[in-house]
Amino acid sequence: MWLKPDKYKKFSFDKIILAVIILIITAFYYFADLSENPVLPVCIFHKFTGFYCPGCGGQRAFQALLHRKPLDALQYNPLIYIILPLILLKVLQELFPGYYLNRLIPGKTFFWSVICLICAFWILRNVQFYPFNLLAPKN
Amino acid sequence: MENQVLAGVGNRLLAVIIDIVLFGLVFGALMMIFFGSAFSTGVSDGNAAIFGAGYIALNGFSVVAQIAYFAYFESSPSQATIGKRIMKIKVVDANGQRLQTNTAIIRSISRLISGMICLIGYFLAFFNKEEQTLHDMIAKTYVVKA
Repeated sequence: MWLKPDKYKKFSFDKIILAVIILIITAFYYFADLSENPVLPVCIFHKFTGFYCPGCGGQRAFQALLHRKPLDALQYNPLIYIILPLILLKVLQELFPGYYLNRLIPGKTFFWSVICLICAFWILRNVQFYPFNLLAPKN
Repeated sequence: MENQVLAGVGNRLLAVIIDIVLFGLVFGALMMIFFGSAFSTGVSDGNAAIFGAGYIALNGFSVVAQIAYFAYFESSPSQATIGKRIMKIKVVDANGQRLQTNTAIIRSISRLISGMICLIGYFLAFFNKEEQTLHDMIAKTYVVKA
């Protein structure tokens, strides 16, 4: 493979900026009122089709986790419990590159398993009857 | 082929933020130029249809401009948008070469799809070894250090 990860770069200015931006985003979601905020991204898929996408409810789920409400997060978007740890792992790999963290990069099988899971979740959360309707974001 | 180093999701995130801020400034200014009077005086029944049509047209233009911006810069000799240039990263094709114009256009249009499903298309970069987003997968491109 002609591509390789940037494994051993020491802490640099761009990584400090990345850490600051992640902190700002996290603080924003902690304090923001998601129901009335015009700057937040809206789901264009939901707006045009009326169906939920796999990410719908993700922002509310993230906020619920920040407010230590894991059950609420589960009701908004259960996928957050899979996606968020992967994002955290990647961010840690970026900020603190090294052998041990880089060993944890998931392989292709895992990646395609997650893609299949996302697609299945996408379909099932739009089914209108019990128990699948529990997968739709809580209103 | 010479080995290339992946850009890193952090650098890509920062580059996207820079590009979004640039776009926001330009279109914010356009909004103020075209709709400044409506914001200050309010829209009356008489001109509501005109302002509505203008607003939709400007939004449509912003989508086209976004596609053109990314396609032009990513297929240019620098292989990078302004944000990517600042972060010293560039886009390459599956052979590590500069993008052809049609590949860059496909990537730009696919970028819209990545954004449409609650940014899930972007999040894919966080959990695959090649750090490919959905639009990278569709266009078979990679983002590497310049």
